[in-house]
Amino acid sequence: MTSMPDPGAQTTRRSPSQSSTQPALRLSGVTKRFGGFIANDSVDLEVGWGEVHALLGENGAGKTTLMRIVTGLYQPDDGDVVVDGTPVDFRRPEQALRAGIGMVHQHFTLVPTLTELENLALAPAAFPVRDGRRAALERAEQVERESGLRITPDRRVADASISERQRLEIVKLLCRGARILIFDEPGAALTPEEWEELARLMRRLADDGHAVILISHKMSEVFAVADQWTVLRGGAVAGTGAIADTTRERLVELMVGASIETRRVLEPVSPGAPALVIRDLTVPRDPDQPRGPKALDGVSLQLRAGEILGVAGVAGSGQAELVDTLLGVRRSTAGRIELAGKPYDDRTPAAFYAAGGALIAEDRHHVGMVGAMRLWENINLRTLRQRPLARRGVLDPRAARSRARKLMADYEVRATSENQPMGRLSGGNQQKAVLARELATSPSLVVAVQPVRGLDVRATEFVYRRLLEHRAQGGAVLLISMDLDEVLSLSDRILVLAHGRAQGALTAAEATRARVGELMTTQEAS
Amino acid sequence: MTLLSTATILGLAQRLLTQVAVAAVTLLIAALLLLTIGVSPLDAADAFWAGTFGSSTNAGTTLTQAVPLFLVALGWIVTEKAGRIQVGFPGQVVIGGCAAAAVGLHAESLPGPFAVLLCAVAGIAGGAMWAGIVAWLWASRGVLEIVSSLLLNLVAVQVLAWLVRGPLQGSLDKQPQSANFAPSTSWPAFPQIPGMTLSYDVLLAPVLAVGLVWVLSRTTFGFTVRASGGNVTAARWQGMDPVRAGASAIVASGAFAGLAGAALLFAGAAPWLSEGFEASVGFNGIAVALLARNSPIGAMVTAVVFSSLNVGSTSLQSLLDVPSTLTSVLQGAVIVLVLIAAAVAMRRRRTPPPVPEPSTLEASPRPATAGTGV
Repeated sequence: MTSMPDPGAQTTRRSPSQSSTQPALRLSGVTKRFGGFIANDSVDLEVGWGEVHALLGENGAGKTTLMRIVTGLYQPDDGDVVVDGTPVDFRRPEQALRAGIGMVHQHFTLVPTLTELENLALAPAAFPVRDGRRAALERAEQVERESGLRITPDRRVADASISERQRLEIVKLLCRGARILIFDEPGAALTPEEWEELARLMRRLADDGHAVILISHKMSEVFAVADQWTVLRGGAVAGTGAIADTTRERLVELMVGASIETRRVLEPVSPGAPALVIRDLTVPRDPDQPRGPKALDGVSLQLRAGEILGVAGVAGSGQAELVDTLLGVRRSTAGRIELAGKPYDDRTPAAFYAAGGALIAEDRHHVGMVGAMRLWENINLRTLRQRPLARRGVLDPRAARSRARKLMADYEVRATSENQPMGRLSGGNQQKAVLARELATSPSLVVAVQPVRGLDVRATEFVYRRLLEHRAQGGAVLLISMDLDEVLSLSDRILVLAHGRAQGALTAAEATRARVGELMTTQEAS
Repeated sequence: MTLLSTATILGLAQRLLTQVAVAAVTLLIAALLLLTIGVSPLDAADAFWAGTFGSSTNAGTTLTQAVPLFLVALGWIVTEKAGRIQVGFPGQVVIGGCAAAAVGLHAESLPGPFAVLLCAVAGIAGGAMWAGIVAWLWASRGVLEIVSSLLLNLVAVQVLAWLVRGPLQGSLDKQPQSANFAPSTSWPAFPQIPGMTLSYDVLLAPVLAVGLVWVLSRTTFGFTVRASGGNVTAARWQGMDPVRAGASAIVASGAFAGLAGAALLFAGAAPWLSEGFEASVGFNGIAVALLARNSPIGAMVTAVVFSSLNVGSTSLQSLLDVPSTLTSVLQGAVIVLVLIAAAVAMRRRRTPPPVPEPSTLEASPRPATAGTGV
């Protein structure tokens, strides 16, 4: 079933360093329509060999559609795609891959139950019966010599971390001869350290003569690695040029069409009664081994009303387990939790919400919404089961719909109507709907986990504004994030988690990037 | 409120068109098959119509036989909405029928309506109990409901075989069947129909279809069931109990199948319990639901289609000597065609969505490694 592409292709494949003077990729006048909606409007784009080209734009600006055209998932209605001087007309993704174009998707295309090597060996097979693992290993070793990227062949992908999976994804593309690499928001799931490693890798790939296209929302990422930039807005090119000749403000302005204030000033709010108190919380990493390694080890924290407590830490420091335990999805072995001044030891999701909790989950699709159900049902996912929207088990859809319409207006949720299936909304609008659901009941405690992951500048600004409004109204927010800038700019106090321990709590005044970063990387005491 | 937008109407029209196309292709296949065995399709159509709807007597039979199929289809729809797949309908029909028969054989002294009601309730209880085993195994042991329900079918058949030879054996010539039920326990028939072939239990169909639609769309229970079926993790994290919802749905679906078992015995042609009374209703009911695209209202129509195939084949056999297995071929053809239509519809839906958004189009697996996600 599995096999590498024809080995002959390797010899005929041109090594990037010998590339011609033609640009790696040239798009001219590329247009793509979906019904009456123009996703790409006569887009011109030129990416040279050896350069990192940043493609910027808000959600829905047409970046993804454009890259789907380049990788053969969509066919353009109009315009030309030229790869290394040769006009191409991709009908299937394999054709783009054969032409040397590979994409690292936001959601990886790996099979978790297979090993890394087996994933590499998964390819459109020329000979269905040949075992491609040996060939895959050879290619992987060759790629390691060329790019320094090492994989762990026998490890199951399920056991690999996000950045390791991403690395495997890159190796997979390189093994298949990709010379133009497209990264779709690669930094979204990475820690700062992992991002820096990836940034170095992207530079190195470009220096070796590859062409790298980086799709990103984050200015810091773009300015750290890119040589050239192109901004898309409303499906059309809003501007293009060299990174050296531009500023962050200019790019943000091109993306959103107007200047957005970047730095916020927290209005001082006098904190009230404790909304969340955690004492000596200990949670095992593996629920089946209560005595095994600990994900949380004696963590204590206190969060008062009218306060935002940021929880910073690199991935895997216990943030996920903290959220799971608060919701009662995971059991603790020791420690007490108080919600709004009352003991909260019999922990279930229902009890969490009943005690005035609310959750903006990190993984919206998986835990935060039911994609096949309608927007009004999703926005009322909890309220619809209680008075006044339900009486004696009977729903009042009319009232629920009108509540949904009101919340859609309040939270700027853009949809064709409240009857639209939730899964059809754009990511930013889904998150706004989640925000509406969680904040509209005036909870005493909001747990927000990476609340702006994958959102564009405008939606991000909206989420931040709403969280700050909630704080101003006397609500408490537990902000769990790996984005240090986010934690620093929103929090009254910052708790740093490292290796499942609280490494220290800083006030906003004490917290600097350097100080927090130092605590985040504290080595384990043992 | 724009409940009937143009898109909705277009979608509805497209669905109806698909059903019509499926019916047309089925008819074509039937015509070709008939030609190969040397029977004129026109004669066959005549005989088929005469057997199914040609007379009010036969129409009564067709409608009455549609009821058990429809009830099983409702059972399938309930579990489908809850995201569970149980295929234990044959077993639940059998056990429901056995329970109803056990009660019916002792209820002859009761006044008619009570006896009928009691038998129906016994059928519901029997089916629900049998499905309850599946639900309990799934909820407490994590046993896949599709496997346990399928295997319990075999057990149910053996239970029936034992009952009709043992405790419930009642025929005078020692055949493996029960004594005849007292007329007072059977569903009354519409007196207007000659031959008394149309039972009052056909009234169950619209009532239950509307009732099920109402429960699913207008109650917290239905909402919880649909949310659990749509995204079990989200339902759990939102404070629902998806396990309870799924288990309740399985039990409810068994109750429908059990009622179908009671209907087969007490509103059918043969008022006694025998081996094989289930007559593939359990599995054909699933096909009825699939053909109706899991719509309770649509299942009323598709159940009649399926039962007319059954009834019509009998008259084809008696009038034109056409083998009754033709029905099985046609039922199979309908199922295959529906699946093809569904696959085509899915492919059409997948190509281009109005506003593509990377995060909504691709599955987003939650990182398996604990902690890497945050």
